[in-house]
Formats: sequence, C-alpha cells, structure tokens
Amino acid sequence: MSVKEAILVVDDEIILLLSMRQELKLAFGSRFAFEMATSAQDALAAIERLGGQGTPIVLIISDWLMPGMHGDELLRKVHAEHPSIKLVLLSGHAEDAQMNALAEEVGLYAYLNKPYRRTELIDLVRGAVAADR
Amino acid sequence: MEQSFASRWQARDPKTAVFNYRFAAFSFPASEKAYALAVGDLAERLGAFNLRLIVAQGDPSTDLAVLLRKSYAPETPIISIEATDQERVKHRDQALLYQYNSHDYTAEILRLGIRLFPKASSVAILVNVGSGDQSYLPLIEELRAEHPMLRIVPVLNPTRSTVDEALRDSPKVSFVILLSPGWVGADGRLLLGSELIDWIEQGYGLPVLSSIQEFAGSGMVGGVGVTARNYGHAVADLGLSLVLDGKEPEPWISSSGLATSFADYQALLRFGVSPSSVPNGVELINQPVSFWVRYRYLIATGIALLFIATSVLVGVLLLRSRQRRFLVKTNETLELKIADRTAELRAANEELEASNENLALMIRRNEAMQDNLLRHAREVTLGRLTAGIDHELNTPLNAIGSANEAICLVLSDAEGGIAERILSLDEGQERLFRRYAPMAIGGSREALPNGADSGSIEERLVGLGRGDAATIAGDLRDAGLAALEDDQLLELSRADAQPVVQALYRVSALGRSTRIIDSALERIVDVLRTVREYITGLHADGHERRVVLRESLDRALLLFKNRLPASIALETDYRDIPPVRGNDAVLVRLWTHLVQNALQAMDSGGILRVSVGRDGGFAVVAVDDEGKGIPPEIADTIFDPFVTTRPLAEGMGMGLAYCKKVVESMGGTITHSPKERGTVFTVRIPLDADA
Repeated sequence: MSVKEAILVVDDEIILLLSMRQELKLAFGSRFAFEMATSAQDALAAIERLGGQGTPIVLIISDWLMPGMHGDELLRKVHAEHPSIKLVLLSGHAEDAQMNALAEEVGLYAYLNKPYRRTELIDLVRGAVAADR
Repeated sequence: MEQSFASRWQARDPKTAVFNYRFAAFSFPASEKAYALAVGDLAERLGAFNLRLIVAQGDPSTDLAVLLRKSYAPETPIISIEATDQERVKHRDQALLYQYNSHDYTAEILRLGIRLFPKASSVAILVNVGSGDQSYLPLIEELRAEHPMLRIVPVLNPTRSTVDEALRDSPKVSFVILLSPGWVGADGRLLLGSELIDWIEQGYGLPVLSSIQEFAGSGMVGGVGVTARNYGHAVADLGLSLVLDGKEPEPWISSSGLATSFADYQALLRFGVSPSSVPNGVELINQPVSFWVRYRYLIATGIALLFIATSVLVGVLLLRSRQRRFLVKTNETLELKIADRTAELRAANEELEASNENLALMIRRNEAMQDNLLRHAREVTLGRLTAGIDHELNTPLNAIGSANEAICLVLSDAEGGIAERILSLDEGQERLFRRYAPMAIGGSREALPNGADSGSIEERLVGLGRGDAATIAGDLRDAGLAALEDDQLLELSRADAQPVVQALYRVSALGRSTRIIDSALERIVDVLRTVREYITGLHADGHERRVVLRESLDRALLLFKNRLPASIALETDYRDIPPVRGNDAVLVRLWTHLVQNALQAMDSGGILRVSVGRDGGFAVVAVDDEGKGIPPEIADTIFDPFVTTRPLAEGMGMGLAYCKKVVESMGGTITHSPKERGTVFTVRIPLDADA
C-alpha cells in the first residue's frame, strides 16, 4: 500500500481553507491528502495524528495572524521537530524584517502573499513537492 | 505729654533719631478720676501703637509707669521723669524712674525773678501737684537759705482759693512762681495753668514766672520766665539713648545742665520791667520784630526768585540765539537728513508692503494648508476605512474567485469536464452516480471535512481488504462521502467505481463552491452592513421588537462553537430577566463583535465568560475574557472608530465603535474595565418598559 503524502493548510478563515483545499485538490487530484486546521493548536494536533497514522507531511502552508498561536511560532515549532517539512507562510502583511528572520530561522520555502492567485499557489506547491524529489 | 513734644522728638537730628518710630502723645489731667480714665485709654492704645518705649512725666506718671509696667506692657521700657527720690526707691524694680531735677530749675526761676524784679521782697511759690509737692518743702528751705532777704510764701496744690488766700495774707508779694503749671487745682475743679496765671496777673497785677515746659501746649504759656526749656529734648535724648543702646541708662539723671531760661518780652513790658535787664543766657520771647526781621525771609526769597527768573530768562535768550544760529546751520543738514530719512522710510514702507503681501500670501497658504490637513484627515479616515473594508472583503472576494475557478475547472477539465465524465459512465456506473450524487453534494455542506474521518475511512478500507486505501479514502472524503456504511465503502472502492468517485468528487466540488460563494457573500453583506449601519445610523430598518437576551447571545455564540480553539473554554451564566427592546440581528452582531474581540485577545487560552443579569431597570451583559487586556494607550479611545489592537489593515477597527453606537442607540451604555487577567466588557440595556 502506497503511503500518501499530506499537505497541511492552516488558517483561521474557514472559507479560505475550503477554497485553497479545493484549488489544490483540483490541481493535484488524489496525489496528496489535504489536511486543514483552523488554528496553530489544531495544526499541531493534526501533525501528531498524521504522524501516528504514518502519513508524511511534505508541506505546511500557514497563515501568519491567527488567534492563539501565530503562524511564525507554529512554523518554528514544526521546524524544530520536523526539519524536513517544507514551510510556506501566508499573510496579508508581515514585516519584512520579521519575515527575513523567520525565513532564516526555519528555512522558509516561500512566502505567499494574500490575496494570492490560484496559479501562484499551484506553482508554489508544485515547486515545493518537486524539489523534494 | 503733648503732641508738640512728640513732633519735636521726631524732628531730632537724623543721625541720632530712630525714624522708624512713630510717636504717640497722650496728655493726663491731674484729677484722679480723669487719670484713671486716661490710664485705661492709654492701655487700650498700647496695643494699637505697638509701643516700644513709654516716656511719662510728672508724679502721677510714676504710678502710671508702674501700673503700665505691671499690667499692660511688661516688656516695654518706661521712663518716668520727675519721680521723687522716694518713689524711685520704692518702685526701683517696677519701672525705670528718672528724676529730672526740678529743684535746680526752680532755683533758677527764682534767681531769674530776683534779677528781673530787684526790688522784690516777697515771692509766692505755687507748688503744683505735678511738681513733687511734699519734696518741695526742703527746696523752699534751701531757697530761703539762699535768699535770706526774701520772704518766700509756698502754696501747695494751688487753686484759686488757696492762691487768693495766700496773696491776700501776703500783700507784699512782688512776683509769683508757678511750678508745673499743666493742670492745677486739686479741689476738684481743674484749671489750666495758663488760666491761673492770667487770673493772678489780671486779678493781682502780679507777674508770674512759670516753669512752663516748652512741650506743654502754647495755651499754657503766660508767665514771664521759663526754665528747663530743653526739658523735652532731655526726655527725648533719654528715650532715644535707651532705644538706641538697647540698655537701661543710669536710673538717676541730673538735669541741671540742661536748664535754660527765657523771659516773655510782652509780659516784661506789661510789668514795667526793661527787657534790657534780662540777664545773659535768658532768651526773650514774644519780642516785637522789625519789618526787616519779620519779612527778611520773604524778601530774601523774593530776591532769590527774581535772580533765578532773570538768569533763566537770560539763559533762554542766549540759548535761543545760539539755537537760531545753530538751526540755520543744521537746517540744511537736517533737510538733507530728512530727505535721506524720507527715502529710507519710503523704502521701509515698500518693504513693509512687500512683507504684508508676503504675510497675506502666507495666510492664504496657511488656509490652503489647513484645508489640505482637513482633507488629509478625511482622506486618512477614509483611507483607514477603505483599507479595513478592503481587508475584510479580501478573503470572501478571493474565496468567490477561487470557487468560480473551481467551477470553471470542473465544468471544463482536461477530460472534457463534468458533463463528459458523467456522459461517459456506463449504465452501472451511472446508477451508482445517481445514488451517491445527492450525498456528495450534500456532504460537502460540512464546513470542514475532518481529517480523522479520512483516517478512519482509510483504516476501514484496509480492514475491508482494499488496496490504495489512502487515495480512495481521500477521494471519498473530498467527495463529501465520509459517512458511508461498509457495503457502500466496498461498492465505491471497487476499481470500476473510480470514474464514479471522480465524477462525484467534481459534483461535490460544484456544491462546495456554491456554498463557499454563499458564505463569502454573507460575509461581504455583513461587512457592508456594519459600515452602513455605523455611518447611516441603526434605525433605518426600524425592526425593533422584544428581544430575549439569552437567546440573542446563544445565536451569536453558535457562530463560534465550531471555531473555538481547544485552549478556550466558554462559560455562560444566564439569569432570567425581562426582554429588552431592540433589533435582534443588530444585537447578535453586537455580541459577535464582543466575543470575537475577546477571543482575539485570548492568545494563550483561558475561560471566556458570558453572563446576563439585571441591575434595576437595566439588563447587564458581561463578556469577560482572560485575554491580554487592552493596552493602556488606547483604553480611552477604544470605542472610537478605526482603533484596533490589530496591525493596520488587519481589521476595520470598527467593531467596538459599532457596538457603542448600537448600545447607545438603545439608551444603554458599554464600558470596559481591566482585570488581573483580561478585560470585562459590560453592556447595559434598558429593559422593555412594556414587558
């Protein structure tokens, strides 16, 4: 049985999660399992669950500003425990300085600006999973 | 003491006088009753004058001094003049007593009288009560010893009757001496010394020599001779030296050296005495003066004035002529200067006009700048609002775009789109599609497909012996087909069912897209409504009715139920209270804003408490969070529009402004107060009066 890889998207906006998931699904079909989380805490729980199931996570796309734990903190935690997971930060506005510091710290794969274009997202994800190979 | 003494004292040599002192003078009659009154009067005035030194004269003043010293002015030095030796000893410790030696000047008066009236064989000496009375008896003996040829008739405590008696019995008296002539008469009828003197002079035709002290009023002057002219000065010196040195002088002062005499010219003439017989050292007073003497000062002043006037006139004339010459000379220079100055002024004027124009320009610029600023402020406000709206609308608009793209993709994908996929299904597959299509479309209604379901589907597929369980499970879940029975799972996981699953997934995507669009539109409408309601007011729709707050709150909280992070617990405490009057939808939005704010503040979790209670005629709703609190710098402005704790453009910052407007439009209040951890927002809304 082939082990399917997962892509985790984290955003407190459900509407965005649904849209992005659909965009990814339509672009990549059944190639990945698309996991959604509405908060950093939920995301950590999902990572743990997927790990328990043996589903490897190849990419995490996380919003920056969320209630509770912010995206940068989530990505720092993930990077500390799972350095192989590619990380993308999604935000409407993050300070360049913060971004650069984070990029250096967690080896941010990319930064996706809100609002993003569908093709931007697809190209970014395609690049991320291809670079993995 | 009388005023003239005080003024004389004040007029002393400035080198020795203490000019900071004010001088108050009081005069005391000899009658005991009047004396008692005077003491009270003086005592009363002591405080008013803040006296630093009291100088008293005469025998009664010894008692006065002692009395004042003891009762009214214990700290004030008192000099009492003419105290007798016995009194001085008796009152040594109670007052400063000085005997101004009256004996000496009485003897001098007598000598003066003998010089003026050489043929005199008898003299009457009236010893007034102020002169030390009894102590004069030894003096009389001394005088008799000094002038053995003279008959001396003493009259103690002279009054008209005693004087009358004495003079009637002694017809050969040539002249009379009156000592201490202030007030005379101990028989109860007081008499001015001058009155007594006039009475003696006119009634008996006898000259009276009086020890008139110069400081006694002019009304007392009437006798021929006076001793102790400097008596007042001596008193003044004594007092001043006491004040200046700050130490007490010897309590015994002999004053013989101070005595001076004078004689009244007019009185001498009246009694046939030649003024030329006045001995040396005796001054003549009341002399007639010549025209020159009388007016010498006036004449001298006139001459001086004339001289000055002439000098001034001459000076002015001289100056004028010099000025004229000078003017002629300087006029030309001046004209030149004036021309220069005129030119300068003209230039300055022009400069002024120019700078005026500049000023006007600057004012215009300022006005323009103010307009700009106002416009700028409006633009900033508008900008913030626009940015906020833009941000709020961004996500839903993108979602709509994304959903639309998804629909387009489904309708026309590489394999010919959903239509082609469905049309290419065989009969059996079509049946399967028809059976599951409603579920696929409906299943996507779930807001967020749960990853756990996908896991369990996968596990069940593995359990059912299906290969590629993960892919199929993911597809089924994405197709909204998570809640399947085992036989349904088996049916759909067959290889020939996969085109059906793909088609179902796409149908499901269409359904999901419409719901995304629905939800996005709802968000957009909500944002716009908030802005519109804030800007145009809330009563436009007028949909007011009775609202039960607990229901309204529950509706709002329902929106958060699925989104509440695990770290946040929600507790509600609803008391049964009457309804309020309001717009239910508006109230739900009000609570939504408050809860959303609270949740946003609770980064690190905690308990969010929402309660409904009552306080008199008000419903009280509290939203109580354990968040990070409101930064103090915005605590006062938190209800203003466009204030937000979130970064710029992250929100419109209108939530609390909206809340305040809503609450106040209902006649209520909204306040916030910090807690040890977090913030409580308290909303008070009047209960429906009709309920």
